[in-house]
Amino acid sequence: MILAVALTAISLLGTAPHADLVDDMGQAGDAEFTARQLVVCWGDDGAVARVSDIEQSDGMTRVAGPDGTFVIGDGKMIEQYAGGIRYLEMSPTSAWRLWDGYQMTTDPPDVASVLSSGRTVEVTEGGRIRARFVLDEQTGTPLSTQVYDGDGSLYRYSVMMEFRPGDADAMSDMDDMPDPEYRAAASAIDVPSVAGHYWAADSYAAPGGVQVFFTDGLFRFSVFEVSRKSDGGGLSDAPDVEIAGQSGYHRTYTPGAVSVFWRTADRAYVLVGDLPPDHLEAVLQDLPEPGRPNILKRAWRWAFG
Amino acid sequence: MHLGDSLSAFLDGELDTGARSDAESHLASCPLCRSELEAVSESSRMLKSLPVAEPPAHLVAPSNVRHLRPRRGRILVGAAAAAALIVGVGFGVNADRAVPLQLDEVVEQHVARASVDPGFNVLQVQAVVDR
Repeated sequence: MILAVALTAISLLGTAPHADLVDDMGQAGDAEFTARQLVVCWGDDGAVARVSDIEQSDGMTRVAGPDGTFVIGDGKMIEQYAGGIRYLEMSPTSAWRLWDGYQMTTDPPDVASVLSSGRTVEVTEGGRIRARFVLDEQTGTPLSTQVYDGDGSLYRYSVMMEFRPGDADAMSDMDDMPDPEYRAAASAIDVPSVAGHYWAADSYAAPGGVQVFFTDGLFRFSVFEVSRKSDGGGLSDAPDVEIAGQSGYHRTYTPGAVSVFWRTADRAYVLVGDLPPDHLEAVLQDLPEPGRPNILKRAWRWAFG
Repeated sequence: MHLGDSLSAFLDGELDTGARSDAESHLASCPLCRSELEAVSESSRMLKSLPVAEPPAHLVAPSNVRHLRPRRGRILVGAAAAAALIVGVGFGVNADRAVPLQLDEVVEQHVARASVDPGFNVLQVQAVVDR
């Protein structure tokens, strides 16, 4: 997606017509490389960081982690772990587009980069910096990414500490693939079609509920609507934080995503995404608010479940 | 300040660690809230322990309601709900407690969908490996 934004900017300012953009993106997505990447995210409780070894080929990205190996791309998520291989596949039909509230410039003159071999793309929102990318000249791969909060503070930073184009095999070690688990389209009950400036692109059946996928073309998140009796998968043990003057949210950060869990009087929700904090605050104000059932509703549940 | 609505949330295990600790501290020093907790707890226990029974088929069969005009339908549905409440209180239907959520599956499904976007970036992979 970051690459898509960058390529969009390049096509707007350069000579490439829009018709070539899809080809450009496809070419960049198919770039082969191996890399070591550092990602740092500054959450409320301090920074969280991770270094990962990455391999990309044929549009698939492979990352070896402590719990197993993940290969992701083109709607597929393959997880290889001690117990076997899990293969999830989705086939969305909604077309990608970029929110018109973003403005982009390539190679801003006042930006110095430690990655001098790349070209720089800046994304601003309302005149304020929102993201900055340094792209590899040869493959278009983001060598460095900076994402900013609404107050101009750095929220997430990623950099390729090592980057070697060519000669990669993201699907190595993936033998005896099982049949994929397909996720069918589904509709959520209480999730609106617009949250903040993000729009709901599509929705699917999910474990224990329904997933609604939101995007603005640059960032993206999913809202999972589940049973109010859901235990939150450990997120309910995260601190209860106040967001936009409303308490009842449980929030955690990983280097690549923020996760929020909350319960309303009738349901529970999990939000997972890479959106910056000020966007998250605006989004949550448009989603069902945290709340508790009154004693009569509880009595009903105690009796009927 | 007394616990109020938080008592039933406390009883249902819906308070986070900090709020639960605060509630326990308050309960240790507040006989009024302790008494109320005991009453709510007893009510909850009684409702949950009621025997299981299947409601009569004619009470829930949608075919009895589907073809009625809206106003009459609402009345009938309301009456059915009230009757179901009486039946439920009389015979009860037990339900399981907390439903476990597999957070890793949720995150992976988000990433799988996100990976469809053109120019999919390795940043998304971080969300999975750091679940």
